[in-house]
Amino acid sequence: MDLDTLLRETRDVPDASPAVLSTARAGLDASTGAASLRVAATRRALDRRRKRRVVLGALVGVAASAALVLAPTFDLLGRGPGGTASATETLLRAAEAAGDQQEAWTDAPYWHSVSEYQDPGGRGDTVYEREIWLSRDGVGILVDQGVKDGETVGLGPARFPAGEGALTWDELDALPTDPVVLDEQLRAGIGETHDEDDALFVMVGDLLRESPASPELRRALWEVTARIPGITLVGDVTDAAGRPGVAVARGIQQYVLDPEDGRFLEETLDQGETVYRSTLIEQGPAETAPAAPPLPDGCTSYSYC
Amino acid sequence: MTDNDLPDDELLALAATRPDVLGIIYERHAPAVYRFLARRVGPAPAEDLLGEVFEAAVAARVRVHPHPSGSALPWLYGIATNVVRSHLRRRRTATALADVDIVDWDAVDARLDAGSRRTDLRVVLDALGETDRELLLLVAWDGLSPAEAGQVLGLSGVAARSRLHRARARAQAALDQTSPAAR
Repeated sequence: MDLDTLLRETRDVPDASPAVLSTARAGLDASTGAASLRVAATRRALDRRRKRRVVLGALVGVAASAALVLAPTFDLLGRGPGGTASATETLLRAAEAAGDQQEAWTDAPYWHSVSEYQDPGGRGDTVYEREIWLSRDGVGILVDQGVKDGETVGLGPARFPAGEGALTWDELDALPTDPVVLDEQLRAGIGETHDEDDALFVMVGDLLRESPASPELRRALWEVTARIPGITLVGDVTDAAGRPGVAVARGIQQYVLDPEDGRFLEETLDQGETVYRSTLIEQGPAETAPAAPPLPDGCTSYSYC
Repeated sequence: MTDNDLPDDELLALAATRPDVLGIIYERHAPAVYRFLARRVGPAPAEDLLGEVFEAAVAARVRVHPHPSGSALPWLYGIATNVVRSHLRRRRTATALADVDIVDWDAVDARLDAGSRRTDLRVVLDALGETDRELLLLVAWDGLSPAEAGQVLGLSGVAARSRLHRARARAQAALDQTSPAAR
């Protein structure tokens, strides 16, 4: 017999059935999905390492006092057009979703937040990583690459900026969750200002970001935002962490939120170009925090020094 | 141009950081890889091993060097060869571990309905060493060029052609001795 004939005649096999091909494809997709996540995680790790090197190199010698200003303050000048129905709808949808965030709200001693920010209007294009453990009554911890070169910094009990003053954690818990009453109470805390609506918009962001506000309070805060005149819907955006969201703005201040679950994702200040950006990567309760550094000489607490 | 328009080698170049492009490779070549497996281990085990080959490909994508022909098949067949070996090793008893083959002869016997074909194929392949045997089958059964088959087996193109030529001569001689009247 001829060798080629023999090999040809022993070659044929039935084709794979569509079910077999489909099953194996599903397995492949699961593997490539997991591999893609690893690729993304590796990229993020490399980015973090690169950014850390840049920060450490650039900020040597920068000093910061223990009395830290944790969030920059801005003079909000711009005033947008009247609020749009679509912005209101988006905010009310986010409010409803935020009210359903029942998981993970506990009486944990710390509120832990991870974010990154950029301050092109002041400190250039460097991206700073920031991690904070707010404490209800005890010592909080801040590790911020833009503060003291990222050294671990001790903080006093948590204070949440609210207009002219600041709220304790207990006062935050006690805020009303009826949006009309909350609106009135928050406005009452705003001092003299050229634009009370802008100040209220800023205040709402302060109470949602790095904040253990309950789901009910989050719902009410977004509902208050929906009532502010002049809020505009910017539209669908992707934040700096690559997450899809919807942006709403008033004047130069813009918030990106996830209308599906009511999470606050990012805020930016735009004066023709972005002059500040802060992206909240995650926040939630924590049982523990890193050890506090020693009190600086002459200090009796982390709050007053 | 979309990813679907890219040739195999360009997709494989992307695969290290874009594992999802292996889905396109799968759609192009899964039927051929299945046939490769079914010829060697039979249809039922091939159904299970097809997924193993492509999941191994996800891990192996960071080391892939596509053949100059541009086809992903030599790479996939190389992975499939290892998967078949592992499968057969799992099936063998401990005493037979040293004799791991690249073909499950029971499965080959089962799929060839004509008794003389089974006998002739055994004679041909028994006349060859393992590398030459797989070289012959990769070209005759699986449609690779001699150079592509050489890559699967770690041989240069020249060495693969030379070995294939000699293997074919030996195989034909063995076949002639078995059934001289059939020539």
